[in-house]
Amino acid sequence: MTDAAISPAQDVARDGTRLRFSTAEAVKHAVLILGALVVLLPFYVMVSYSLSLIG
Amino acid sequence: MSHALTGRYTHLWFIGPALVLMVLILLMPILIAGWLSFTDYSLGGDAPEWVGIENYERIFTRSTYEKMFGATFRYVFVVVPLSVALGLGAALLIQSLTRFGEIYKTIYFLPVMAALLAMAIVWEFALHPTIGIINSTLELGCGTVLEAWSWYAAGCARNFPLWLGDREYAIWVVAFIGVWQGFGFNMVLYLAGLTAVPRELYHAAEMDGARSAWDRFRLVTWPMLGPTTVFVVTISCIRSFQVFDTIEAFYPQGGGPSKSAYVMMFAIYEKAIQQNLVGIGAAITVCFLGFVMMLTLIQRWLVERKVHYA
Repeated sequence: MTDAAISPAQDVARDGTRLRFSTAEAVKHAVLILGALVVLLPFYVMVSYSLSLIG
Repeated sequence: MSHALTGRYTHLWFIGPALVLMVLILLMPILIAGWLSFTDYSLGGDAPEWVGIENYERIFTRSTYEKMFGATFRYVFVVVPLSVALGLGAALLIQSLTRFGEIYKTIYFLPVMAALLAMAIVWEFALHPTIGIINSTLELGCGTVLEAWSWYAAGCARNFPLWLGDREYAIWVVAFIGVWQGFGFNMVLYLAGLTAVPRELYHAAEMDGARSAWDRFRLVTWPMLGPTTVFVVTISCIRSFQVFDTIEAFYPQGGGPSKSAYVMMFAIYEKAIQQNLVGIGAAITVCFLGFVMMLTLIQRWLVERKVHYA
């Protein structure tokens, strides 16, 4: 059995704690997406400037 | 087998090549830099004259070099803790995800793979006070609730900072770019460290009463990541002391407004290469080596006392 298979998330998937787990997962994704936006900012600037017209 | 290989000094044949290489590549340049630091040597000039500790006196008494130490230490003390903390935080969050972890790993590792010199130029565009995306985005928030923040209101009333052109902000912006570039590497190291933590320890900790995620981190994850942390902090420190690319890209004529971003590596380059003052450049190099060595030794002494290697 893998670690994912015995994770608490799947143990409680059919009761009320499922919503709490989803919220925690969503918060993690929100934090990571925010970080990803900061990381990708200069790459976005680089691509957008390379596609814009001079002058 | 010949007599030379079976005799009393056989071991010298084995350690000899490594020893010769170590002396030639590592020790000799340090010794030469040490000797040059006590001379007034300049490339193409007269024979070097022994000036004693004059170069070191200059370094520790002149205000330019005081700024150099200040900028270097500000950079190191911002970049190291932030890049280590963000690397660890990102690794823990990604490790705990059930899906899309690989996407975040790829995105966070992008700055490590990108050429810092090229990315510094892109950051220069982004941070431009009039056409840059940062100030343009900040201006969008004027007239909203964000103006309750006095710094923001001042920016809206007059102008937002010049960032790289402002001596109050220059070194912090360079440090931010250092964190941006460096934390992805630390994240990868921590991810590798996390995979080596045995899952049984978490089960055992849970049975012993460690119910919350914080307890599991405090009692299992953090102690088990000790060796990784020693490595990550040491590498981050040395890399931070070596900052050069961004400073050279932003301020090729000198270390930023009022020398506020005049870091040691740039000072070595400016003195020894641009101004051909090899003696003073060598003296800064020796100070640089001394700081890195001291920091590494203190770090190892402090951290390794509490580190348990499996």
